[in-house]
Amino acid sequence: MTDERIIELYFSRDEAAISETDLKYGGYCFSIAENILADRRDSEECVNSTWFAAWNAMPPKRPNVLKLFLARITRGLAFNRYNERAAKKRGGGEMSLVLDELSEVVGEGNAADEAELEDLKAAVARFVRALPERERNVLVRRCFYTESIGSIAARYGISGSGVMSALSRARKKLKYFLIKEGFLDERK
Amino acid sequence: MNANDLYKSFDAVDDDTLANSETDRTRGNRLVKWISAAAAAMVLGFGIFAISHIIKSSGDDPHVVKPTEQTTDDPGSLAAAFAEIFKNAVLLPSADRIMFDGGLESWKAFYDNKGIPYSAVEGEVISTRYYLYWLNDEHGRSVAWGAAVSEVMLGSVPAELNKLGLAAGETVYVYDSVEMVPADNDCFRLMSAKTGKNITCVEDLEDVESFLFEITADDLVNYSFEPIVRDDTLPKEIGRKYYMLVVRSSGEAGSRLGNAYEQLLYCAVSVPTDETLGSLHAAYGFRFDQDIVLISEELSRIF
Repeated sequence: MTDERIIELYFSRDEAAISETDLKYGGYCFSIAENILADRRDSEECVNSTWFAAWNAMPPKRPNVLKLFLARITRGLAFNRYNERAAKKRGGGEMSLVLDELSEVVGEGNAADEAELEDLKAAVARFVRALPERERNVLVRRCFYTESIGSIAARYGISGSGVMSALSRARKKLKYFLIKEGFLDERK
Repeated sequence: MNANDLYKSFDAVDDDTLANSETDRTRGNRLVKWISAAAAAMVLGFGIFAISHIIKSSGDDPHVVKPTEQTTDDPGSLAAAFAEIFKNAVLLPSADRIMFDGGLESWKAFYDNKGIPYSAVEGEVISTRYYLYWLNDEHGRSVAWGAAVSEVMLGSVPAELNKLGLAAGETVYVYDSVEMVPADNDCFRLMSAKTGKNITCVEDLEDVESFLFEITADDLVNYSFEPIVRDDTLPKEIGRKYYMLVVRSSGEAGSRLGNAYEQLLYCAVSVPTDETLGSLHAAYGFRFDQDIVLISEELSRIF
């Protein structure tokens, strides 16, 4: 079924929207959750929560790209669950590594407030858009999709060290971008 | 702000960017893959030759060669051009280590895989001076090539390196190859034709390294070097972190690199910031983009 048709099912409040979405994007969303959570049961619950959230969001929301709309929901839900688990000291996995890598960029500061976070999101989106294609893609696979180094290397047909090198460059650039934009203190 | 916030912020990456990441347009472009990998090798190669030259001429006492004002009097001479650049390079006398930067993690992984011991030095760039050149082939095609000399203040230094004259707070001058982009990829294909080798993708740094040392000086005999600018107005990358990786060149690494390199101390390179790259691009139209197309053993003849 086409995305347009699935979206219409949501708008007509037809519960077939859920099953059709699950059929088409269940695996995709599961892999996003699994990358973050590394736990089948938690990931399945996340995917089910994604359908629930999508059902509540549409209408009025009409996504431009349904797949990516769902990806963002799943990612957010999975990350929330990851943080809940981390509070209970059940973190680890790829997500833990990604956060460690991002800590290299921003250090161990206090959590941003809502306004700061919105500004940061806009800045990061600008930064990512300006990167060379290979670095951009590698960074997105790592920091949005939480994919492992090996998965990214296989996706693009490059070596693991090539992926690490690209990520390292991107993080250095991101750090200096955030300093330049005033998000980070240059002296730290 | 913390890592959680930064991770969340990637949620704002736009749909096009996310969608494009599913299929990389550069995927399968073996030439680009080779070039990208070759960039790392070139960094290594030029650095090694540079240091080799300096070490040979420096005797046994640790010393630092401070960069001086330079112009190239003999623009047609590859040797003169390289000699001028490398005259400004760093550093110290004979030792049993090589130090790297430029894709630090890649090199670490590479040597981890090989089981070769290394230690790392961290420094901070205080200033950088650039030397930019056109490298012309016999058909008039050109690639941009750049070098830089960075003034680096060392941060933490492993104790084992203190005896080499490296200590926290010391300022050293480091030769730094600036990444370049060819005017077109034909230049690389030309090299392929000259070597008679079918240059294809190299999957990892070891392949690049071995290829690096297979190229003969004849491959580049018809290239000339033409300086185009030395620019002191480019932004100083003050505060940029500068990482160097120290690797023992004896044992496996030494034998793989060959006896000629066993006395090398280190080479080091860093990645320019976006601001620098943007300025270079605006000023000269270059795209410094990881695409290095020339690797030269010509240097071994020069020195």
